[in-house]
Amino acid sequence: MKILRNGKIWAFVLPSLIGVTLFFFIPAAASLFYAFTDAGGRFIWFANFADIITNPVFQLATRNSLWFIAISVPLNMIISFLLAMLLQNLKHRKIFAVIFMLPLVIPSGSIVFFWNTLFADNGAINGLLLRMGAETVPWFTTNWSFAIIIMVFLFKNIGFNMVLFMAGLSLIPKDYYEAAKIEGAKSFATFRHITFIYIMPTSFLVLMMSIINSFRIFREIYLLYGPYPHQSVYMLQHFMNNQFLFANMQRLSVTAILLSAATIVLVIAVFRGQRKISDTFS
Amino acid sequence: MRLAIVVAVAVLSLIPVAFIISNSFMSDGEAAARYTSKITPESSFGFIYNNIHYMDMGFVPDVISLSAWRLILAQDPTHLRFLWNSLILAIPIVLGQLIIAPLAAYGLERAKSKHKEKFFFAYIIIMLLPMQALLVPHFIMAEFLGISGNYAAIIFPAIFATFGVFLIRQQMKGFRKEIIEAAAIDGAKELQIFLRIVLPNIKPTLVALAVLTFAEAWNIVDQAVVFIRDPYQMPLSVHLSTGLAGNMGIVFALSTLLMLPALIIFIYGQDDLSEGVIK
Repeated sequence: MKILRNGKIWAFVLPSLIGVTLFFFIPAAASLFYAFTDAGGRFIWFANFADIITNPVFQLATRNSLWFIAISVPLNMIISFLLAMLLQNLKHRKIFAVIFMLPLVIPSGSIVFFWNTLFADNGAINGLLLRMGAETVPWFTTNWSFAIIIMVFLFKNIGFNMVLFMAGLSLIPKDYYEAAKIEGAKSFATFRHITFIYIMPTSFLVLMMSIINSFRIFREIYLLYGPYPHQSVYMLQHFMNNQFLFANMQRLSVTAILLSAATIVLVIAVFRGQRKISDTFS
Repeated sequence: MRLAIVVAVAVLSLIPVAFIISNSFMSDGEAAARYTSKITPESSFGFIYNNIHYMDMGFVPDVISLSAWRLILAQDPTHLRFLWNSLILAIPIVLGQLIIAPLAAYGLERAKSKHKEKFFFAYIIIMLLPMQALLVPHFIMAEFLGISGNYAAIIFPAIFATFGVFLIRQQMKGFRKEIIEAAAIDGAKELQIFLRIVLPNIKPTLVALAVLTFAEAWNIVDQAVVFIRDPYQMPLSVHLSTGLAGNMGIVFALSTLLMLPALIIFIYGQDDLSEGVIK
């Protein structure tokens, strides 16, 4: 009876599981085969991995992607959280929330013309600089291109994440704060023991979405700078895109496997960290 | 101070949209004059130098003109075909997600097996991987099934994207388990519980998922570039960035056209967007 009931429950998961098995698990296993063989199908151990890891272009792309995530994700979370704290009890919150979330849904293809008009070599900002008597800046062909992408990412995500944090903050029961006040808790203590703890589930969600979106910003990078951008914004996705061009399954598989392994490590670290934080503070 | 920050963030959020929409009402000549990059060699006093024309960013057209809109909607309707392509891609993806993801999330939340968290962990990994990494297995399977080059090669993997399962399950954790248990003891079938009790309660999340999935499907670039070979089969998002060759006269009207469906769905679902994700 119990098994039957359990079996019925799995029937709900089945459609999704079939799809994921078909389009992910099975072909991912196939990509393992590519990763350990050469183009002729001969087993060559880790030669493909060694080839990729020592590839300077792959190293550059990995470094850039890591830097991008390491800078953009925390920056995004900190700024949107601070803004949410600041605007917590805002009047007309609903209307502002709509406006703040707007950048998230604007398609990349539409928005790039705006950024291009601003930052191109003959763009509006350089025109303005020149008129003010300053030198023009080649935004797209120097390290500035990295800073611009960080800004584009923040522009797209801060509003939405801020609204999520605001929603999360409004869920914390007001009596907690009142009780803390009565007990004479300092505002930092209140923050540490109430706000910080109860915003954790929201932070976890925002963190996940930030990581996903930090990869998705590749579309803006690609549409703005093309397939061979300045070396500071050459990402893992550029590297993989160019391998798709040659349908180099060995390299593609190895890169995808390395990325998956890195993601597994990251997720385990996040889960452990989350548990540790809620253990220490609560 | 607070008000200043609110207004500043609001204005910043609105500027690009306002820029694109207002510029779509520029006449062809004005848009070209403002935004086409021109370098004209000039000579004076015997020196030859390059005179660079800097873009003249404007928010109000000199003359309000519908010429760009007339061109893309009536005179050259090939552009509408790309809009149609985008719809054919996005609508099945959103509908499929809305059926598959809630079922799976409910099943995973209710199942008593110890292995379910392993599956869920795998789902989280898949959800976090960049599209290019997912495209490798998708590509292998599409070649195997012979659907590479078809929309099916994009639509099916997107329907089974795991973000929706993650999002809905996250919401269900806050759901009152006693209600479900009570209904189950009363002899309600799982499907009844799901349809009558769970679904109505997670409506905001479903709306949020629909809005986010649509925004994503409407924005397809990478998948289309890998799978679609016929340029006329490309979605509008790709056509806009590759098929115009700097025709500034219609860029803004097409950008607006691309933006509109995403905006409409967003505004329709905005009430539930934050509530559906955080609850």
